[in-house]
Amino acid sequence: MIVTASDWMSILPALALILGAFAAVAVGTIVRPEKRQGIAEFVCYAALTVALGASFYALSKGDGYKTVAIDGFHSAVRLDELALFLTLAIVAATGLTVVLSADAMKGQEAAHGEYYGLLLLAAAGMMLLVEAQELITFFISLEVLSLALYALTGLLRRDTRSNEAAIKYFVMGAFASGFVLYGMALLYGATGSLLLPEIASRIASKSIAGPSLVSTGVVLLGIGLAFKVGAVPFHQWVPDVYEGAPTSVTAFMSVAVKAAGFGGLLRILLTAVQPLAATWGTALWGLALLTLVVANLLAVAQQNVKRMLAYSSIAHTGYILAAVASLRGKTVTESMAIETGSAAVYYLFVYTFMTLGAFAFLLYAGRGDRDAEDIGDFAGLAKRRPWSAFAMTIFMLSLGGIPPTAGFFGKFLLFKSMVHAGETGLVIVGVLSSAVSLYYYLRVVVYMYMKPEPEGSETPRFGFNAGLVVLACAAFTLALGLLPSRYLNLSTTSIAMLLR
Amino acid sequence: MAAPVLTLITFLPAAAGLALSPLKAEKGAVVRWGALGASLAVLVLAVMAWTGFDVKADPIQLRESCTWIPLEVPLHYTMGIDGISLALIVLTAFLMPLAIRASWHQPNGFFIALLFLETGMMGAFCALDLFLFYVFWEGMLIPMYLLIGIWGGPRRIYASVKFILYTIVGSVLMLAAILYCGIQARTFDVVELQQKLPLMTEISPQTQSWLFAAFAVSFAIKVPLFPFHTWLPDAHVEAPTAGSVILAGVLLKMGTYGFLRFAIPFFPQAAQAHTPLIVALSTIGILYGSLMAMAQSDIKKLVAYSSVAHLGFCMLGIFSGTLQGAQGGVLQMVNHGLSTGALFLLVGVIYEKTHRRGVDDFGGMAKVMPVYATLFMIVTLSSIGLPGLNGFVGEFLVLFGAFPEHPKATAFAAVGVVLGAVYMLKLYRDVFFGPVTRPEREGIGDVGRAELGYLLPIVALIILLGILPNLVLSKTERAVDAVVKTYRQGAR
Repeated sequence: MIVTASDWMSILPALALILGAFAAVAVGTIVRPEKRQGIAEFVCYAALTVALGASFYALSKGDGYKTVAIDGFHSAVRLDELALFLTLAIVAATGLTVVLSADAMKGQEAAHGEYYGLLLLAAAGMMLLVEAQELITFFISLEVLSLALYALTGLLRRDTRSNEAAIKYFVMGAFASGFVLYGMALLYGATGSLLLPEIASRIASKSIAGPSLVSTGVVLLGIGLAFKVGAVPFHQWVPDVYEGAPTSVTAFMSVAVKAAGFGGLLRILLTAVQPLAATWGTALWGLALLTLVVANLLAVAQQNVKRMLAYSSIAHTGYILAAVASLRGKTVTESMAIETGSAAVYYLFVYTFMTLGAFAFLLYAGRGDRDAEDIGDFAGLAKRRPWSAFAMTIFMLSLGGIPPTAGFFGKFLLFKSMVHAGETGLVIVGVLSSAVSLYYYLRVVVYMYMKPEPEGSETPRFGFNAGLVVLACAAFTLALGLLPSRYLNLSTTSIAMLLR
Repeated sequence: MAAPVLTLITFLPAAAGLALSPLKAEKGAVVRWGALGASLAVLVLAVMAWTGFDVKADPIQLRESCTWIPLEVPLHYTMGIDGISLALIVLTAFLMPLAIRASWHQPNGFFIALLFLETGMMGAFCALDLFLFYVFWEGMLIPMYLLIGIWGGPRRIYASVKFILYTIVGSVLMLAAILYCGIQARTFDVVELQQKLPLMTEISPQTQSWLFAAFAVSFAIKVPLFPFHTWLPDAHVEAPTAGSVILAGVLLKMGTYGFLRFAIPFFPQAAQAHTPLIVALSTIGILYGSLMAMAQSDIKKLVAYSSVAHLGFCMLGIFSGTLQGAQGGVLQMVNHGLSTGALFLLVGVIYEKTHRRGVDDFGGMAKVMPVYATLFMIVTLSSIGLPGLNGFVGEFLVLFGAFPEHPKATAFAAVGVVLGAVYMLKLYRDVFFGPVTRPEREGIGDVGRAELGYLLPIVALIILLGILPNLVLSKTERAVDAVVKTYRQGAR
């Protein structure tokens, strides 16, 4: 097989990260311990810069009305605008996590090269996942990112919570992978193809072995991916894993996995099984409803902010799922599908910054070797650090969907597309649950601003790098709410391409 | 092109707030004077808008518009005012410097929150794009929430969370309705929607009814209309003085403004159909608020319940379907802003001196604080609706306009007027007349020059509007008439 330039180009962002990952692991074994972290960080930045440069280069080719699509490896991967847009989110999440790790992993045994190597590998898996156009590639990418994340979760090997989380995540994840694989096998069996566009055309022309096989396959695939993105009732692992994993890993996991998982899901749903929208849409509708209600109610009861953010992450899965589910309607036209898809993708982008910022704040406000997890740790922080406390307030308001933040605008787009598709009932559940969510998000604000710090409590760490991430994310959260046009266009074209 | 006056009025406070926010606690004086300066500048601009407002020209003036976010139904940055918004903008601009002056002892953050609050309120009154309106409408809750929650009384956290959750639940339902309207009518422009929505046959009467309900509940919570009022006493009692002044003076008017600007013009038929319910609730609110006010021993709570009653009058007037009634309702909005704002400022004065605000904590204060007692008397009489002061004209117009349409409700509302006199005069008697019950209050001294600085302007305006109510009525007449006409058309 001859590998052409466009083949290379199509996987260049991921490739850069994979090479970076090897280099980072090598750094961990060659370089003297005290210098390892610094050099590994440098390797990460270099790899991410190459990935970012490659993405922007690919995007720049699509200026104006021409859209980008670089096929590679016999259409196994396709670097189009959806992939590029989510790649930007993944690169941003990875980059911010690396900055964060400088504080989070300082002095940890785990700060050796493998931490950074695994981080880059996971990110590479995600990038491939969002551009995979063929089921095997899809599955391999999914496993690359999952395996790297299992290891990252259990990185603090002397911490029992971290160990427990890793085991749980691994068992549940492996289970989910089984579902995905089984679903793929059925899809392949029924249609005789692994390529998503091919599967779509065979379903459309009804040249399939058995309609029930296809729908069973889609359901199994859906269940597997619902595990990965953490939708109710497949969410039980999320709070434990998020709580147990090192906070920097949780931050990375909660945003990047979601972006990648939904990217992959959208691509399969909108290309391969688009004709079956009525079926999978209804299933997703049920999942979304359950997720919105259950996650928001459970989050209210949390005293641990890290766990609360885990439930919040599940809840946000619900909002995006709800939008995707609205494609089930009979009256849904292509332009409505574009509206919905782009709203979902835009929300993923927005979600990246607000959630990452919130987790970064947990690290920032940590005391001693503990991160700020208990709600009591937040008491009086606004007095000590008014600006970063304000940034945290922005994240909480944005997650709760209050204007003028990006979270509000993202939700506005999601709900608008749902109303457009005729899912008014689901919108009402959505807006009410987001009103409920405000209760637990504001609790953080209440503690920061309205409760005095207990006497004699230790001064928080206020690490420089974590603070940097907090402020950067806050700036993005505001900017994406007030001036969203640039990224909104990108998200719209990304979905428009997919449906063409 | 003329200067973007409304943009300046709206964003000047926020810009000042942003500029002042890096200053340290030691620079408190700079922040205080900066905030006062910014709010006075806004007042100057608002007065200029007032004098420049031509009642014979376009109904919407000082219009500014540009595309903000180009979606398939684009979101515009559209600002513009008619007579109703004009009156409320001037009211807001007038109350804000007084609120700032009355909070002179507060820390820096307090003033910054107040400035951002002003931006939110002004924006909500000026916005002529539904999306833009919603951004301001919800955005202003945050500074208010922080004002109550950080600088409020002992139960401030409970009160602030209750305040924000109550309002948010209402607003998110309105958001769903906004989305529905925007998508059906293919526009978020308020003026276009006012023209299109009442005529759209695609929206069935039942859907219209639901949409109206979604808007109405959101606004009714803000007004607050009985039985959605339970957040109000808590929020008022716990809020710091400036918070109470702005909450009562301006925020409650957002609700009535919403009915006039959106709920009625968008869905006149549904508004008509719901009128009996809303009139009944308003009347219950008048009586219930008055009776509850009679039973209070905390002065602030008493004033809070009196707000429920007064806003009931506004609602009764707006839903009377007559020009007199609706004009009275709008005038009453301004009047309530002034007289209740003044009452909260006055209560704030003695609270600062004594840290007490129970009725029992005082007695015979007229001997101790004669000037204060005089001012309090004027405001009390204004609140009761004594002829010659501002409250009279508004109340009279409301009752006069509502009587032909809703005679029974008006009769009950008139009882509310009497009850209003009872609780306010009882309050006055207990606090000011008789012997000095607490000797320790003897030495607290009368109002000083600083307090007079913010009490005199508002009392002067109360008297001025009592004599010349046409100052407001002439500006609002045309806009109110348009609303009433649309409402009447819904009856067909």
